[in-house]
Amino acid sequence: MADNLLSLHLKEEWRMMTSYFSSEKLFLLFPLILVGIGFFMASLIPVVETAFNMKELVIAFHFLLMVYGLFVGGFGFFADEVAERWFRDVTLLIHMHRILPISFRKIFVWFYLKDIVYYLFLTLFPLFVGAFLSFTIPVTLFVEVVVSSVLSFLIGVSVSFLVSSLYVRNRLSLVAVALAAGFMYFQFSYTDFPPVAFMVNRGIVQLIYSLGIVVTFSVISLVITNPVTKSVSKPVSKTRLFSRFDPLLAKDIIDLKRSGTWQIIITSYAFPLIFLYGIFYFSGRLFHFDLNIPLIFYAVFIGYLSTLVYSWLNNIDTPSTMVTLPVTVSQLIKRKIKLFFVLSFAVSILYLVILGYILADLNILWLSMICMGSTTFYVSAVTAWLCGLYPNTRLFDGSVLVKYLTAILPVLIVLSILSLMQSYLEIVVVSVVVLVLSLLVYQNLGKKYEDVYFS
Amino acid sequence: MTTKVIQTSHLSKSYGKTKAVSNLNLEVDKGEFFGFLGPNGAGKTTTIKILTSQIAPDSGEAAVLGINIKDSLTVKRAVGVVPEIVMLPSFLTVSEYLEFVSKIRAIEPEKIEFWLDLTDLSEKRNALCKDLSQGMKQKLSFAAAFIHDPKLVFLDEPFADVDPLMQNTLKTFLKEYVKKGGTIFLSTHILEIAEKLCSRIAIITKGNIATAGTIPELLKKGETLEEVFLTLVRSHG
Repeated sequence: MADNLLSLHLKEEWRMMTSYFSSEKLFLLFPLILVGIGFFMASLIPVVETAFNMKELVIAFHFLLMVYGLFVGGFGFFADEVAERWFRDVTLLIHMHRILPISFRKIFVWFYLKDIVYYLFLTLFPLFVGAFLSFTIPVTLFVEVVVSSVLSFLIGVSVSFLVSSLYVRNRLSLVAVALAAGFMYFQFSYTDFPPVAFMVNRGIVQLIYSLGIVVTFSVISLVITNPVTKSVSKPVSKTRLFSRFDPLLAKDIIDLKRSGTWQIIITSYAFPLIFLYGIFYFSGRLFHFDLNIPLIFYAVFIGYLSTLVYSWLNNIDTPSTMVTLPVTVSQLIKRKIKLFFVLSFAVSILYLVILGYILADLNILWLSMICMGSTTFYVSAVTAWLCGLYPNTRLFDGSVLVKYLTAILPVLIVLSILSLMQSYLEIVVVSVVVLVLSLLVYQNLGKKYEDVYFS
Repeated sequence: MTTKVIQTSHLSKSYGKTKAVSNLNLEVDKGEFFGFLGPNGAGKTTTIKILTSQIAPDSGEAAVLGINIKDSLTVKRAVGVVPEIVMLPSFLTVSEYLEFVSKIRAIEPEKIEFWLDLTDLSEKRNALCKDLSQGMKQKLSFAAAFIHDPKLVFLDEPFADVDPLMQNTLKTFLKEYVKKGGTIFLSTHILEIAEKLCSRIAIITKGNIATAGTIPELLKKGETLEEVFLTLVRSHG
């Protein structure tokens, strides 16, 4: 029964993900791209080794994977609603505890394991395969790095699962978590992190210790996690937005407010930015040199992050609700983009000003705004062009992802390099070119989606 | 002289290797209460989706109210639809949804109160759509389909989740609507409902019409509509 549940969960995940693509082969393009990225990154090791200490790079890699695990593991927030939040139109096995004589916990254990297996095989292992094929890492070291970095990822997942489960049970427990994290930060060094210690010392004790953390945190989380019960909202007062705005725009504003997505949008910038800032901050501490990252570099990153806003706007409510109404896909995209601009600029400028203040870089705020604006325009135009109303699922399509990366990466890389070189005039020139390109894409968006059906 | 409000010619639609609608030829006159019956997977919902411009056919032609179904926006402006699976905007209230639909259809929202009363949703006017029961969602979808006084309405299993009291209210409304010259295209599994309401019926199996006619015409093929239905469906495998 147990292994059957795991295989059923895996089949379900596979079928759901591949259903978003025209063929399974296209879906497999995603891990293939990751093999390529792993190969490329590992091929750079001999070059990078001349500038950095290899051991320190490996430590940084472990922390990156732990943070990745932290992003993956927030199951406690959603529990059995996880699928409904992400894939609104489907009902999954995880909901079956509602109607079948099986406990939520039993079905959730296998859902949790399925997600771990899925992320390992779809994202981490392809990277490792690519790295292995580059033949830049000795086999013994490679095996050690794979084991220890998988453990880092699993610790990230289990910590995130535990924290989210505690948070749902009692928000005050986060204070205890923060205190524990603070204590560990000041009490231990990076090399005390069990997976890193296992890799450095090749000690079986650290390996057992790492596994112990993963199992203990996961078991506690699974014990305290409960199914999310849908609460009925209180009656709301009538809005006047319909008499002031276009109905589609008014609906999006109402959705944004009542779903609480506006809070998610504001905070969704915070985590990646703190992460990026943290990397540079700890890199400085770890590698003992100041990277001195200017505000414009962050502006490029913020512009890229604005894709998140477009994704969230499309994720609040399914477009299927419009299918019987005289509304076109292109009309809906245009209204979403209008709201997107207002929202993303407001949030982006807020973050830029705060970062400018922290970095004492406010003197180049105006240039950073131009850079952020053009990147936002461009990234959103490309996302809307390639994904329409379904950015969350279409980007998993290998062929779409390749086009997306081909269009986005060169612009981001060029602007990032120019920002690090502090070549201000070139930044303005590139920003203007990018703006013109974005306008061209926007002008043709309507035509592209004119005759497209919702389903 | 009758006017054709629905005309299809060799309409076909497949999902992968499955033929949902196959070479379908169909005509519905103005003022008809047309019943569209068939077993599960026969192609009823796909036909409605094509005729209401929700999806495109693979081949064939069709027009509703004289409008080519390729003109999706004009078709959707003209007709009303109660879909089988009702999808409503989660974060709009009941009355806001009807106001939203009125604005989208560019009509004055004066009919909202009438529809809230008729569907017994007045007390739920400030409840969010996501918090409604299936039956309430279906009633709201019914109101939204009729709010612009369309000349043709497609109903896909509209009574599935509605209580008998409300079924009675809605059936009375539908009869009145047809008397006033409106046309109904009703897809249902419930043969009694079709028998009581419909002036003409078509039975679809495997994506094509197996038979069509008025109730007396169909009853020449069997004692009851159920017998006719079962015989036809079984003979088509």
